[in-house]
Amino acid sequence: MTEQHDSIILNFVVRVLLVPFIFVFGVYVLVHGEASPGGGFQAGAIVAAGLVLARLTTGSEHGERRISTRVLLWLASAGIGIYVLAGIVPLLAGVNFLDYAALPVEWFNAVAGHERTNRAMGIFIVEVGIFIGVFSVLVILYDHLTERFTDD
Amino acid sequence: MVWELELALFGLLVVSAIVALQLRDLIAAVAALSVYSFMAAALLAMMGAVDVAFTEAALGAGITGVLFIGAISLMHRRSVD
Repeated sequence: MTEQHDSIILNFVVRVLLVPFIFVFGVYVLVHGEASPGGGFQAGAIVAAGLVLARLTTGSEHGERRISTRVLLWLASAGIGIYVLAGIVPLLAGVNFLDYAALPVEWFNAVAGHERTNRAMGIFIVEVGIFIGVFSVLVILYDHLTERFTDD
Repeated sequence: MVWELELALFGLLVVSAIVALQLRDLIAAVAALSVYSFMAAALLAMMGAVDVAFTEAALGAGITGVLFIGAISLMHRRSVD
């Protein structure tokens, strides 16, 4: 399951038609997660499915992957870091752990041009952290299952 | 909602679970397990738990199938017990 398939139809359908749509749908699920079904975990699973699909068609023995396992490991750590930071920053401000109301994100309202409460922004930051962590870990799992035990 | 449809989905859920347990070819068992996950997702969506159904469809029917097949490619394809 790790060799490249030289079918132009398979490559076109998966890499041009399917995978970009899956990525856009995953980001849609992420940013609409507070109001409708969805959220960081589901969006991460969807984006990971898209990345695994791209990896299944391109294979791993020909050339370098666009996003290597090492980068994904950093991304997974960054996802956990975002979550922990969203909890630690209110703690430093003198309120409870993960008390989003104390997050210093008011400047974002001016940038985005519409009003959101600090609490909504805090939930969104945590969901972004979960999203990055989940999709990186799922793709790392796939990478480690399909590698041919070559120590790097 | 429509109880006949729900009953049919539940029947398919049980049948696919039993088939996944009985099959000796592990890749076919993974396919049966994906069917099981999809039926579970449809049932959860009918019961109103759209969030759980979403997760079940994305993870159960999508990612775990690929991960299971990746694991089977590292060992024997047929079950021996």
